[in-house]
Amino acid sequence: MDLLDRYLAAVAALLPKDQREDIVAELRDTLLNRMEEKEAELGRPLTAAEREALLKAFGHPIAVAGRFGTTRALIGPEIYPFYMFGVKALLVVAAVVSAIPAVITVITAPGQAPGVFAQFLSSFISAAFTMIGVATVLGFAIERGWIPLDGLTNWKVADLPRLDALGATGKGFGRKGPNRRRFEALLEVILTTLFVLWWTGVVPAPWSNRVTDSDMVLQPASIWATLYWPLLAWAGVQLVSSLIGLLRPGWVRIRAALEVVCGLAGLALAAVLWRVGRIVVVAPLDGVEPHTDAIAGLQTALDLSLHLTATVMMVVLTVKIAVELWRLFRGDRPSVSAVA
Amino acid sequence: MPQDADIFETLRQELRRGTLILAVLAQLKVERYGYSLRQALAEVGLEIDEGALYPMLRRLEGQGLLTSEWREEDKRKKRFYRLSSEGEAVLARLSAEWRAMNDTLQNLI
Repeated sequence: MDLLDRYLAAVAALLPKDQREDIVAELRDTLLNRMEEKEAELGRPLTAAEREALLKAFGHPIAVAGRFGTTRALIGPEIYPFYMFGVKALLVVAAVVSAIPAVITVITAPGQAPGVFAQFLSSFISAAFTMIGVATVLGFAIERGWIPLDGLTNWKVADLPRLDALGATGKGFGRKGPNRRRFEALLEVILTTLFVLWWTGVVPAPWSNRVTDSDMVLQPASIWATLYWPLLAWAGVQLVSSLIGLLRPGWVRIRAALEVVCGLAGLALAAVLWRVGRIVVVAPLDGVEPHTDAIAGLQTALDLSLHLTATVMMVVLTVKIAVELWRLFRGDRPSVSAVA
Repeated sequence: MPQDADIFETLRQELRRGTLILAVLAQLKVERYGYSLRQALAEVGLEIDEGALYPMLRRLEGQGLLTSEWREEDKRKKRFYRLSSEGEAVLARLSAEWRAMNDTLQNLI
């Protein structure tokens, strides 16, 4: 087998079967023409090195075969902005999910704080790469139409919220741009979904309930069993609201109404937790002699943290409800007839 | 940051891409095989890489603008291309479009 045959066989191996013979025959003719042209120019037959140089100049077999294929971008220019939008949101989620165990470690074992950053970084890199991988596979599938995404093509201008993202008129200065609002909605969807999956036991919590470097464990207080269904319902409403924010940002009043419901539910939850006063119970590890003082100390610290958190929650939620009520009353959607 | 030369080269290629298709269609009013087509284009000053030419011919044939057949010439089998009737109609419309654009641009640049 001479060099030309070897070269063409390498190209043929990468071509679609039904076109292989046809394309290779045409390439053979082209290359032979090139060789003959070169020989006529030099006035002598080509040496093996010259033949090889000519074939090399024609291109690597992978590149040559690739030009005949239906090569397409992994994620094309139409999907790419949405892909990048999703990746940014997922990076934030990866950071949040990685930060939770790190924060718990800092609270429950301050002595371990120096190693917390490395723990966070390791967890973040792993989570971020996994999520970007999943997003890329989804983007690839959407690009090829395996996952139809109606929302990218079937949308209405009137559904877009009235936002002055650039602040060009001065009226929009300091307000959230449409991309930021959608980004936040996407973040809410991802975080709420993760919460629902964790709450229903579909995925395990990404942290251990054991207090680092001690013989103590944190167990959920009995109040959580009572709040199982109410919390799940609350998460469901929140998910619907966030999906509206992501897919139909123009439905401002509907979203505001759902956010008010969520806010009131959150307020009720904060009040219940504040009254109960305990959401986790510190207990000794099974089969280990309990260190009563250490357990009592950590329990008191956690109970105090709960009271503080619940109080802040109630203040924040009250403000949020007021804002959403204002949005519900005022709306934020452009009038199509007015524009027309 | 792309250099000026890179930017120019990218824009030049974008400009050439559409015009090459027009040139190929125009050259295939007469039957030619790939290599002779490339030579004919080179003679009028339009160099085209074979790596781009052959996939383009296949694409145009797939779109019904060209027809092709294998024949023996100079003791070698060659694939001859020529415009189909649909290709002739498209070439006429593209040519009119090209002339109109050319006239407009002449007034601008």
